[in-house]
Formats: sequence, C-alpha cells, structure tokens
Amino acid sequence: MSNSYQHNNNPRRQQLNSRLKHKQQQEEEAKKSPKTMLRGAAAPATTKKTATLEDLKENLQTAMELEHSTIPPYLCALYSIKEGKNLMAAEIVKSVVIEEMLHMVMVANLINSIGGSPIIGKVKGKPFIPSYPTRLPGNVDKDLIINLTSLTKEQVRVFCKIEHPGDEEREVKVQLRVNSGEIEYHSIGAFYEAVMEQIETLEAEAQKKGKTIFTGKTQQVTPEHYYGAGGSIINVHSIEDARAVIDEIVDQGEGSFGSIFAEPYGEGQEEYLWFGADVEEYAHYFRFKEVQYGRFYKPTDSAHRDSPNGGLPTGEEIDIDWDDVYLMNDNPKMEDYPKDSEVYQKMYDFNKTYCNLLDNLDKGCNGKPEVLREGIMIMFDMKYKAQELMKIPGKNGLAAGPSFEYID
Amino acid sequence: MKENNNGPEILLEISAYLTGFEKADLLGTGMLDPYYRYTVNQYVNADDSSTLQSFLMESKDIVDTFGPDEDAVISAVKSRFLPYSKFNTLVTQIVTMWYTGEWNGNIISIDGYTKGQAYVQGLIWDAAETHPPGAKQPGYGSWAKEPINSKGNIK
Amino acid sequence: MKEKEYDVVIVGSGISGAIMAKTLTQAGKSVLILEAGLTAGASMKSNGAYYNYMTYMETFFNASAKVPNSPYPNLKDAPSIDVINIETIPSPTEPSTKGDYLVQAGPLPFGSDNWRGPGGTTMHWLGTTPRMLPNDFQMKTKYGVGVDWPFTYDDLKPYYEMAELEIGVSGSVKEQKGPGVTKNYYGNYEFPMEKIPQSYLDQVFMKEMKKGGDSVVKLNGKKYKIEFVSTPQGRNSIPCPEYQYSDIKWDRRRKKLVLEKSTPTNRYQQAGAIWSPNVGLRCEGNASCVPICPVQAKYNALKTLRKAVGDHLDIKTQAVASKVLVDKKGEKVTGIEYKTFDTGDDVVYNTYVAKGKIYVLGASAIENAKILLASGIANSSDQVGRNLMDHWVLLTWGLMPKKSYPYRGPGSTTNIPTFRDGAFRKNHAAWISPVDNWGWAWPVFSPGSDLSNALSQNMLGKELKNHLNDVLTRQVLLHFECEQIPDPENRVTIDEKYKDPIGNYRPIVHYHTNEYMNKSLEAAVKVSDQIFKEANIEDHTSYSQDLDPDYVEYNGKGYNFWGAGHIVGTHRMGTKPDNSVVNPDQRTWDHDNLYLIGCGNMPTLGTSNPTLTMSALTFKAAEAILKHLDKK
Repeated sequence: MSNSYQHNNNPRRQQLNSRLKHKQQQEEEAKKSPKTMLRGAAAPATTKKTATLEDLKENLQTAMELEHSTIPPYLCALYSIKEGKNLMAAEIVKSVVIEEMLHMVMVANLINSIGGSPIIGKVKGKPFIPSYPTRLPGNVDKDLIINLTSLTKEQVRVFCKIEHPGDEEREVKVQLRVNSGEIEYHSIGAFYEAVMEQIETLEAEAQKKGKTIFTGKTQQVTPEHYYGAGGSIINVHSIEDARAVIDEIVDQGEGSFGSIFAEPYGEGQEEYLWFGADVEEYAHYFRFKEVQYGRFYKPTDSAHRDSPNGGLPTGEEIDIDWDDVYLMNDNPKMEDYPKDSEVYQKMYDFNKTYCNLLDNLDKGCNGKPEVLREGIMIMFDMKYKAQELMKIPGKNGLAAGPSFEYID
Repeated sequence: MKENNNGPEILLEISAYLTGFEKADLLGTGMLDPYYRYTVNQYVNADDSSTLQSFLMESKDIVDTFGPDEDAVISAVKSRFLPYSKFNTLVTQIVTMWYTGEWNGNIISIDGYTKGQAYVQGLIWDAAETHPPGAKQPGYGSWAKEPINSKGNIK
Repeated sequence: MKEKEYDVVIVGSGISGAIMAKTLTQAGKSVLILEAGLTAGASMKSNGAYYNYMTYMETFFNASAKVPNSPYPNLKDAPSIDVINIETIPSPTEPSTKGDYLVQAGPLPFGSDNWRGPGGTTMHWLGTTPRMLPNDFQMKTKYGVGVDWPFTYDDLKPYYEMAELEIGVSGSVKEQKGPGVTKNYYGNYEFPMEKIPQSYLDQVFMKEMKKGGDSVVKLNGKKYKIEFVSTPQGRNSIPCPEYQYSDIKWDRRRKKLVLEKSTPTNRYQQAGAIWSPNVGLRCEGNASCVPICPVQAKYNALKTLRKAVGDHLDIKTQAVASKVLVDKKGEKVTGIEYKTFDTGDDVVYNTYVAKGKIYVLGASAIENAKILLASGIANSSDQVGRNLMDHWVLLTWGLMPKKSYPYRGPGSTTNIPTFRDGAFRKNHAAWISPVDNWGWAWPVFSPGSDLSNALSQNMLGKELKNHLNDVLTRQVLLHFECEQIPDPENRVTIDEKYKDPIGNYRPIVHYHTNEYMNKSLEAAVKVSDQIFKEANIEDHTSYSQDLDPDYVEYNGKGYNFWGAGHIVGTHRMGTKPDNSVVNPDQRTWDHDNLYLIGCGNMPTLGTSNPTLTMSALTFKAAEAILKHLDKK
C-alpha cells in the first residue's frame, strides 16, 4: 500500500505548486505597478541576458552548496539533543536534515542530467564547507549569520530565517550567474525559479536545433540509494523531471509561501489551511516554528500571520525541555585545542568522518550511486562521533562540539 | 562523606586505567558525573563512605606516582586494591559500570538522566567493535562488512 | 444499551487477528477486535504511536535481562507468559507457578513465551520467514510419524505468496536450496525485497568451511553436504524491481483472494514504521530484532492493522476474552464474554459480551486452547490443548579462528538447510540450522558474562579490553532447531486451582521428551562437532542442568535445548471431526460460526519458523470466512 502524500500527484502538493505560480504572476504584476511591489523584487530580471549552459551548471553548483551549508548547523542542533530526550523535536530536525540532503542530491542529479559534474567536498578555489560563522552561499540574506551551535530557542529562530528568506523585513538576495555577470534574487524560491527559467530557455534553444540539454549519461541517484525522506528522489532526463525536482525542493523548504507575508489576510480564508491530517510533510519553516513554539500545527491553523492564530501552531503540545540539550562552544575549531590532546583527536576523527561522507557523496553523485550504501554507514558513524563531542568538555565549560572542517 | 572536589576527576583518571579506554572515550559517554554521583550514593546508602573515600585518595596517589605508565598503574592497583575484598568489589563495580552500565546486576538509573543511557553508553560494545543492541545502529548492510567503528580494536 | 452486532468478532490483534481484520474490512465487512493489552499500544496516530513505542524502547534499555518480553507491559489483568520465569519443575506433584501466569507441570519446562498486547508476539519475533517444505505436509505418509496435513504444499502456495507480501519478505529465491527445494518450490517468483545481506560472520564461517575441506559430514553412516543459504526474512531491504505483486484483494465474483499484479503506477511499497512512513524503510542494523526493532524495519502486526479500513474496524483494547458463549444446543456461538479493566494492574474489571455473525479466536495457540477449554466447547475430538509443539533449539558455540564481528545485524542472515528433510525423519527430527549473528548472548549471557569472567581473573585495563576484544569478536553460535513431533500428552490444560487476578484461567502446560526428540539432540551434536572441526571453530559448548532447565540425558550424555518461541499445535487442523479441532477452512468442526486462527491449527511443525505458514493459513481462513459471509 502506498502513502499518497509521498507522490507528486498529491492534490495538496499541487496546491502548493499552483500557489507558487500564483505568486509568480503577482510578482510579474508587481513589477508593472510599483505600489504593490515586493521589497527586494526590483532588481531582478529586468536586463535579461542569455545564460549559457556553463552558467547554469555553475548556478546549480551554487544551489548545491546552498543546500549543504545548512546541514552542519542543523546537525549540530540535532546532535546536541540529549539522547532519549526531546524526542519529537529531534524527529522534526532530523526530517529536515534528511530532506536538505535529498535536495542536494537531487540538484546533483540535475547537474548530471545536463552533462555537468557536481562537486561535493573539494571545490577548486573556494571551500565547499563554509567556515562557520558564515553567511549563506550565493549571497542569500547578508544580515543572516549562521553559527554552529546547540539547539537553542535562538538557533531555531535562525533556522526559521534560513528557511524563510522571503520575510519582507530583511534584505534577501540570491545571486544568479548569467554570462559572467550576476543578478540578485530576493528569495531562494525565486532563485530556483530563475534557474528553472534558464533551463527552459536553454532547452527551448536546443530544441529549436533538434537537440536537448539533457544529454547527461552519468548514472543518477535513485530512490533505491536514497530513502527515508519525505518525497522520493527524482531522476532527471527531461524538462518535466527538472521542473519536478525544483518544485519538490521549493515545496519542502524555501520560499514557496512568500504570500503569507506579502498578502493581506481575509477572514475565513481557507487557502492558508495547510496543515490538514492528509499533509504529513509541510515546509521546513513551519516545522521549525513547531519546535520554536513547542506545538504542532493543527488542521484549523492558518499559515497566514494575520490570521487569528497569527500563523503560529496551536495544536498538540510538543514536550520540549531546552535544558535537555548539551551546550557546545559556538563555531568550534580544531585549532582551539593542542594537537596532542584527546579532544583534538576526537575532533579530527569527526572531521575525517565528515569529509569521508562528502567524498562518498561526491562519488555517489558522479556515476557511482551504489557507494551511497556505504555513505549511510558513514553518516551514522559521524553522528555517534558528534554526540561524543557534545559531551566532551572543551573551552569555557561548554562541550567541545563538532567543528565540520575540511581535512584532506 | 566529605565532599571531594576532585572526586569526578580522580574517578575519571583511575577509570581510564582500569577500563583501558581513553579519558575522552569515557567523557564521550556523558556518564562521568552521573556515575560519580551514583557511586557516592551507593556507598553513602551502604553507610560505607570511607571505603570510597580511601579508594579515591589511594587512586590519586597511584596515578600521581605511576602515571602515565599504564602497566605500573595497573600493577599498583593489583597489589594495593585487589587483595582487599571491599576494594576488589569497588574496582569490579567501577569497571562493570563503565562497560555495561550495571551495578550489582541492574542497569544504573539516575535522576535527571534518560533511563537506559547507562546501557546505551556501555563500553563493552566498543570493546567488541560493535554497538549496543537497539542503539547507535550502524545502518543498512553494515553487518556485511568489517565494522567502521574501531574504538575497541586492539592497538 | 444494545451491543452492536458485527460481521466478525476477532480475539487478538497479533498477526493472525490483524491479517483477518485487514482482509475482512477491506472486503467491506464490519469487524470488532478484542485486545487484552493496553490502549496506548494500539495507537495508530503518528504521535501517539511514536511516544508509546519510545516507552517500549526505554523499558528495553533499562531492563537488566533483555528477554523477548522485556520492552512490553506485563499486566496483572492480562499476564503474559515470560521465559524469564522458566525454572526446573520442583517435583511431579508440584508444578512451577513462577511469574503468576503459566503453570508448568513438567516434567520439562516449556521454553517459549509470547506477548499479550497490540501487535502480539510479532513485536518481539525475529522475523525469519522460510516456507515449510512439501514433505512437511505429509509426515505420516512419507515417514510414518506425526500426521499429514489435510492439504499439500501446492495448495498453500498462493497463500504463502500473500503472506510474503503482507509481511514484506526480503530474500533471494535463486539462492534457496537444500532438500525439498525444487524448481517448482517457489516457481517463477521473486520476493518483495532483495535479500538481507549476509553477515560478515556468515562470510567468515563459509570461507572457513571451504578451507576446512569438502563440507561433508557423516551421520549414521550417511554423507551430507553442508550448504549455506541466505535466509528470507520479514524486514525491509531494497524493493525488488522484478517483484510481481502490489496488493491482496478479495475478488467478489470469483470468491477468491487474489494477488494484484504490480503496474508502473501501483508498485509494491514496503511499510515503514507505524508513526512515519519514512522511517524503517531499510533494516538499520540495530541488532535487537528480538526483543524490539527501534525503527520498525522489522515487520510487526501493527503495520497490517494500520491498513485495515478504519470505518469498518473497532478495536476494543484492555478487553480480555474469557469465554465463548454457545446456544442451548451447544452448536452456535452466540457471543464472546470479555472482561475490561482500567489500568491493567488494578484487578477491577467489568464483564461484557461481544456479538457478531462469525467469531474468530486469534489469541495465540496456548490462549486459544485455554479459552476453548474454559468454555467447554469445540472439543468433541478431545484434541483441544493437545499436541503442543515448539522447535527444540540445541545451541552449540565456539570461537572462530579469526575475527568475525558478531553482535551486528539481524539475529540471523544465513542458515544451513541440509537437515531440513531426509529419510532420517523416520528416526529423529529434522532441523534447520540458522547461523546466529549475536555471539554467545543466548546460552551464556555474553558479553556481560565475558566481562565478569575476565574481572574474576583480575584482568584490568588494556589487558581486559584486549581480551574482551579478542573473544567477543570471534564468538559464533549455531542453532539446531529440531522439529518437535506432535504428542497428545504435550498439552495445555486448565484447573480451578489456577486463575489469574481477574478470574481467568491460567494455562497449565504438560511437557516431556521422547526417544524421537532425544535422538535428534544426539544427532545434532554429532553434526555440530563435524562442522566446527571443518570450520576450525574452537568448541566452547557445555551443557548442564544449571545452564538451562530444559536438560535431558540420553545415552549417557547431557543436552540442553531452548524454546524457539514457536508455540504451535493445541487445536490442530485435520480431515475429520474425530481427529482434529478445525477443518481445512480452520472452522471448528463443532461450531459453524467459530473459526480458530494462528499456529494452534498447524498439525505438524516442519523446520520453518511458523509465522509465515500461519499467516498463509490465516489468508486461507479469511477467504473461507468471506465466502461464508457472502453465502448468507
């Protein structure tokens, strides 16, 4: 028996997609009439240059780095939860991380589909693993500084911001590369839409010549290799597949719901009732809101912030004890400890394992998906190493913590 | 018993020698403080604080005198603790506590700590190059290969 | 208030009850399940189910003896049989009553247990799912022992396929071999999921055997080639692209249950944890299948129960079936009397009667027999409670010449099928030999005992750690799961003297050995010795009364055996009302509207773990009930 919400023909999901498109139309209109213009939406796409296939590949590589950059902070939060405590919060954070990794792998599929080679781990010239504290890659939201730290209320607030860059109160820009120039977008969702536009343009051009840009022969990652996430992995061989990937990513995470901040709320509006019993997977932003407020959304909750529930969850309580979390040093580094210390060794072992994981993902996403089986084992091993570091005392009376640094 | 400020530190030092694991391994279990408190309570409840007190003082002396030479520390432990049944019992209890999370046959349960963590953090599973059944699972198909966690491997 | 009358009232929400409820409700019938266990355990809501399961996990972590029932609530009002209570029977006139439920009259203690709660014993089963062999169905005809089944392997085959779909079996058809496994045994068929990878330990064992010689052992002058095969099992792995089916459906027109063919849009999908479809899609190697799979990658009956059609199904929990009521003529069942309680331990209860057109008992072999005996029904054959069977597990253990890294992965991933069938069955039992992945945990409580042994030898520090590493990474354990043959004196009875706190009978088990079983133990040790020698395994096996109370002496040697948790027999199925309790439809001969389901129906045991066969039988019974209901 299958679970309907895992499939793309789920009506809920289509509803989300149509909402997304609806929003696009509004943006188009916003461009025409300045008084309803969305903040930050002024810059993009006025000077349309043609992107090359190489631009597209580079943009997708940026997308992958963007997806990856959130993983270490989410993992720190997850592993800082004391074993056996805050069970539901841990489940929620875990589900988000698994989907972030899914996004990363799906973007890799997309890169492969157009004959590119995704790079995970070692990127020439610039580091793939950001040095924390960091901003999001792609110049998304300059004011948002992301730390590696434990699960705290404050950190969950940051997570909400990461997952919701469309907030009108903040300046949000994503740079998209076009012909060596760069264009900024106001949300990750818009960024992905622009990427999709590039794909469509390039494919249309290719089709005119009786060709296609989906010429990649590299074996992609399939559901057999990546499982356990809400939504199943998509293999890309056509424009429809590419669209499906981008819809999936935008649906699950970033920026599909700018309207709840931009549009006025009308009483009794049903279009913001997004949390029905048939929807088990809703966007990361709302899942983090649940952690932040210690409650689940219930089906009658509206996502709109001007609704009676203020866009906040008012359902069943989630038992969260913020003290049942190991507190780690913010943004730890191996160099904080003497090389011959046991703490240094433990941090080194952790980083080595993390890098092994990235190398594994790199191989897996470059034609050898079968190695991802081993990746699962490395991921588990990494978790236990991180959990040790959450308990080993470091500086300042806080736990040493995992540092997520690149080791050759 | 008189509160020994260095109690946990001494317990950690001597435990590393007694178990054969590194101090960071013991700290990584997160069990040092609860185990120290538990041990103290057991001896307080048994009205025998002096045994634990002497054990810690003696341990400190052994570690200060013979550390970091593992063999020398162990042979001092063997000659200064094991012949005396009270100390012998305590040594066995401490090693068993770290290895299996048990005290006299029961899983140690401490207020404020998740029940069962003592079992989950047992070092015997590391010694066996595996994980406690039901926790720290290594992932699909891991059992078909040599283990990647080799913390317990003979060095 | 008039009680609702259901199409079918089922007792028990274990695998047989769940399969029955799912099949009937999906066919549009209204069903009530009476379940003795706590309400929380039957929660199908994602948060409730998750929190409840995590309390099982915590209980398991904290249990000092991690026996099969250790994670699960044991209620005063509906106690479970528990292996933790097994002891030597004090004397022929003084049964063992330890644990306040099962009364063991002996002379040997019965070595297995089950759990009375939502999901039943599948919560703690290992999940091994071989089919029975064709000859297992014809023991009397082929070997002159036991009885024949009222139908053949081929008759049951389509239902085996249904059971394999429902449970979600991972395995490799092409690797299956051994006596009785012909080309037609599975036919043109694949399992729903790929085989569970065989353990590193299995691989070392097989390599060492090969190094040792020709893998041939001798028994009673005959030569047998030892073979190793991957074991089919009910835990999630990678879905098999070639698997042909997607679901099981009631075909009203043909009056048959049928397997729906897989299509590109409707493919088989393995069932994840009941709290999240994304959890447990692969076995994660927790190595704790018995007693609990933390991610529910292992099948349990709650997964089937979850698929039952909610509108058609009522589950009454904390409701202990105590008696089956019949009309004045003693023919038609008119209701099932049950007792409800509030907390499980308060010993305060209310009595009600559940009403349906048809009644089904699926409360486990021992419990079914007990309820029938307590009701004084269905027993014109005098077979109720008789022929209680289990696999007698003889264990042998030793140290591999090199590290094989046990204590990892599912309990067993490989078995030796060599002695599952053969002419020797005239003289002694057949057996299957699973290679155990969990060290010496079962017989001698490793690794804890290895630690205490080392400490008693004053080992400390690196010496201790290295010693443990050396020993624990080389432990190997082999099972010889011997088919117990039906014996009318191995039986369940009841006695006014023994009642549980809410006035229900406590089952009394009478259990003994015989020449046939003794010979099997002797033969198994002979084979084990040769296998260990070939594989260079240093034998550490040693049997005694102290090690385990199931101890027998035969030809001057002592043997221990352990219960397999395979509680079978007690209301056998047969060809005639005078030799059996139920007919091939699993309807009681004596009562038109009473069906029995579960392992109690099995006339003989074979060498396979019985859950798969019992599930196949339950689909067959469900089909019969649907036909029965549609006639009306």
